[in-house]
Amino acid sequence: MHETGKADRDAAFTAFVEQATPSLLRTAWLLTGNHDVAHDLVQAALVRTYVAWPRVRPETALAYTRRVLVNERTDRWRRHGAELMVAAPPEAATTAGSITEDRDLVVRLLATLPEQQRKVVVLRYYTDLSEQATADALNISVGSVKSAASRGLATLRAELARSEGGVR
Amino acid sequence: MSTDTFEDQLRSLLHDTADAEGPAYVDVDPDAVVTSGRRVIRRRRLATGAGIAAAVLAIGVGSALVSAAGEDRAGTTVPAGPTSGLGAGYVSVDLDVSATLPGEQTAASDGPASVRVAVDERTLTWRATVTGRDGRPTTRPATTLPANPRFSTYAEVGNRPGLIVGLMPAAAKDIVAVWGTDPVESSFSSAPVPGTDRQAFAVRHSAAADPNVPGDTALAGFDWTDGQQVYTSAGSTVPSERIGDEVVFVDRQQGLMGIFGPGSTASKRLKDTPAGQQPAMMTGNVAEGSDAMEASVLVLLPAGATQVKVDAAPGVTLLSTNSTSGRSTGDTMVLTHLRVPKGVPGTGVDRVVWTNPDGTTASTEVD
Repeated sequence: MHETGKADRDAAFTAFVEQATPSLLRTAWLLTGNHDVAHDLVQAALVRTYVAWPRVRPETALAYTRRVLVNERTDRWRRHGAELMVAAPPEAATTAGSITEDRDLVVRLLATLPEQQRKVVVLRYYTDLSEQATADALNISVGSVKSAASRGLATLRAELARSEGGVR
Repeated sequence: MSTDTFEDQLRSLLHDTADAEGPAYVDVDPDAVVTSGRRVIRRRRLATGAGIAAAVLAIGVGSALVSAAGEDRAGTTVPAGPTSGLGAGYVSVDLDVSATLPGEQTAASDGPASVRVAVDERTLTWRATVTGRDGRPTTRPATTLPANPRFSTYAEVGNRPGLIVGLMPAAAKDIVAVWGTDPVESSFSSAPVPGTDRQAFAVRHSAAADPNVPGDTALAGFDWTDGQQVYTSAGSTVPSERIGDEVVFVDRQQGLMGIFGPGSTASKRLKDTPAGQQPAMMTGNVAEGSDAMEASVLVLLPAGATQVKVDAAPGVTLLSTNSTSGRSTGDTMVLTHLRVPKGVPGTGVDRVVWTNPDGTTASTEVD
């Protein structure tokens, strides 16, 4: 009976991993700009989610894992320092409007933001979390979310204008 | 441009770019996650229940106990047996696991003699067949192989505990094992699996697996190096630095520090650091006919430590000292090479003095 329960739990968790991984990898990549680091972050977050799985409600599993991921990112940031924040310098884009150009642009833009602003921007404007949900995920106040989002947007707008010579 | 418009543009940019990265994302293997999660649970149970700290044992790949399959065996295709239910896509390698461990009955007929590890990259499965000293084979059914060779997989095989067989990256030149029990006796062998990015390995050991976790092993994990960096068996990167021909690392997650060197490899639990001291460890070799050890001593200092000065113990010759910046590890790692005569206790280092980023001077004794 115990083994059946464990097998069911693992099956449910495996299904969750398969469903949630694409979104988590994208979020982690936007937070880090590096696919290997993103993979490590997602892997670590999922392992911690597995450990807590009996206490995680299915409807909040993704939010839980995302929160773990962001916290893991914070831990690594504190441990490793700034080199994790910026990926290898993107090569100069040569084809206007190309995917490569957008990719490089996004990596470059996000790398200009302080860590907290970067996380707020990604959670608010990529994962479309509300201000309250973003605050919960980052364990900060709603006011801090608003402030970080405002500053982050201002920086991105200025950087975008500077990199492209105007409004996209 | 209004804020709302810019926010919408930003959303589109983030989504479009993240989606366009699709092929570049490194897939996460659910099986590897579950396996790692189980090990975390088991380690916690061991730590909180029996109060047994993880025991660490360094194992050198290519050590005297290594007995890789010869060229005549490597690359052998294992015929699909009538009961295997598997196709013939397996590539196999044989490992000699006949070495006896200290305290083991050498005449025991139920011990293992060899193990054949078979890998099928097309179906992403692997299996192991152990042949006992009595000639009887025991096959572990095929199980899932991680798609990414950077992930390791392993399991206890055979009729009784004491033999762990698995696959790890072919790039692994050296590993440090972490046991979930008291220190154990062990021996290790490995060999590359032809045509793959993996190598098979086998560990004979004296540790008991956790009886509360069916199918689990006494091996809590391991760290490995490709000679440049250090990784966990779960595929994560461990903070490390290459200094000369040695790679030093700090694995805070597993609570380890270690030195991978060409002559010797060792690790130490961070929790074993004496109160009031900085974490430190040593490894080394004594050349035949010599009365002194050529030792490497690794000391962890706070990140940003500068003006590091190492004081050797009386009679010890200080050969060199290198310090890392700590940018990639969160610690400043000081690697000192010394010639330590026989009879000198401890590491051969008396004290390390350094300057903190705030300008204050600090020091630590090193046992």
